[in-house]
Amino acid sequence: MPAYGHGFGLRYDLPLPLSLWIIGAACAIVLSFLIISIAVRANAPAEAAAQPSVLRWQIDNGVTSARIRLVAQLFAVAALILVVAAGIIGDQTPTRNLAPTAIWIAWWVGFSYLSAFVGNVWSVVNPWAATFAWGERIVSTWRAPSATVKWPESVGVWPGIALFIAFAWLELIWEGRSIPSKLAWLAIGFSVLTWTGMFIFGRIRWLTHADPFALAFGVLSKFAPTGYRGGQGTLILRLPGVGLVDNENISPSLAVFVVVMLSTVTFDGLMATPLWQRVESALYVALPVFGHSRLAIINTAGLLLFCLTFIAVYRLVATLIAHASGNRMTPDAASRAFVLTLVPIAIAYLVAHYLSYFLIQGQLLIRLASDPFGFGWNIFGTAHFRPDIGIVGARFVWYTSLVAIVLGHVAAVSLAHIVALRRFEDRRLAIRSQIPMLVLMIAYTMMSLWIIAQPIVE
Amino acid sequence: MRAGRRFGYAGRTLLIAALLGMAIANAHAEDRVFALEIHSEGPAAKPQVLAVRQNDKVVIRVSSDKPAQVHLHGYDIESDVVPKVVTSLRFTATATGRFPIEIHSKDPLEQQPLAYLEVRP
Repeated sequence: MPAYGHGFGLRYDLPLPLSLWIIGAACAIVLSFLIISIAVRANAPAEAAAQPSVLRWQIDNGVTSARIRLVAQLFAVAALILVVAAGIIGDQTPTRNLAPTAIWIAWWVGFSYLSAFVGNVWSVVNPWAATFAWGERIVSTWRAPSATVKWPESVGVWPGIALFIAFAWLELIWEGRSIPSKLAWLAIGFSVLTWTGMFIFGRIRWLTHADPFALAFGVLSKFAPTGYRGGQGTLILRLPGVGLVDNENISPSLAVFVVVMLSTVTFDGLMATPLWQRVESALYVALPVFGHSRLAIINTAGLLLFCLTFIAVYRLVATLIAHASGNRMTPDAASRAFVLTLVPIAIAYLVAHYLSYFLIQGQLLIRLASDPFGFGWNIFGTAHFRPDIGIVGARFVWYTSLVAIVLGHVAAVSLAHIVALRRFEDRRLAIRSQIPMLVLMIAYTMMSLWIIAQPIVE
Repeated sequence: MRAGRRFGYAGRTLLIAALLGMAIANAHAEDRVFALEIHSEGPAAKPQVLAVRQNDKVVIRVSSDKPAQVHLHGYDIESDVVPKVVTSLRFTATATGRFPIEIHSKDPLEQQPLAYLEVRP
């Protein structure tokens, strides 16, 4: 008899075979040097691509019409209410309740993919922003909007960074992460926090400086083929990745946010490797003083240390770029100019790491649509649907992962080169400044490949 | 040679080739039998890895010295195990992947899986 009990959120990927790992690593390295050597000779296409107005096409404004936005937002708000309701009053078995699957798979992985490959859909449907905006319109008909507290410049997006790390902790370490009621209360708490923050500092200011999801999906969507020119203006179509070279508005704290986001994505994979299990076991035995929450403390320390290491390494690379450019750029400026070019490698890793998980565990939504509360309903007749774990085979996952990682690497190297060309007049100087970045990208890609070549350990 | 007879000859050859191909493919699908033991003093050092090929017919014989429930994730096959009785999980490994086999028991300390089933393409 099928047992839909615990076991929520498992990944069933086979480790990438050694032969494919070698091919992937070799492709990444060879293509990197190929790109650099092409850049040394024929640079006309790259210089043209460096111009802001090329490779972008304006598309019809109809998509952003107010009516479509409103319908999409109503859907999002209804979904949020349904998920919270399911979490609180529904069956608390994770695989029988809509909340865990809707949050971790449909929303977190789903919107990550949407943001990276379609566009910043979250900025349109964000239910918290939408409800607050509706509230603003209602209240403003009675009296003028209250004055908002000014957001200090030096604070930057640090609150967003802190909240994002907290979210990563909840996603990776918190033992309540698959319990429906705890997720529901978390969503309610987040709603209160968000609306309060919007009330005090202003909706837009809060979204662009403190909301971890608006920031994260915003960063991913800079890769996407659609974007807005000039803030909320016309919708444009562009080559994927081209949006990542628009880096005039990257503040120092936003650069840190991008690096932290990348580090948590990678730590997610690292936590399931045999290497990390050995570290965990060794520390578990060595630190009996912490008692029952030892594992959580060890993993929390690991998460924070990993973030700090990524920040330190990136800072070092930015300093090397600044030196290699003959100090025409400060390390700070280099850090802000190039940080977005690492995003394609992270996106490629999201594909390699989550695609089969999304396609296999995501099928739970078919069953949950008919019975979101686990009460035995069968609204659409699909309540007894059994997910097909063979929907994608191991070979498909291996080849997709490999292609994604190599393409992501190639995109990152190319984009960094374009950014360098825009900043430095001298072509040779631009290329020389790229060497530290190239080494970092190769190392980051190798790490991604290594992680997916490891057997998954619970 | 008339067109009909030529087609018939080619058709028969193709049919025999197809049947042979299917026979060879299925001949590679083996019967695999594994034994797993559950010990009451806790899990063994490292989880076993049971490696099979896709479409193998697998039998996992589980024995235990205490009552427990064994659960093969992914394939979602669950069974009660009682002491002194060998329980068999039988299935065809149609889907590739790495699937944990876990024990559900009252003991919360048994965090790690008993074994992993790896179905290779």
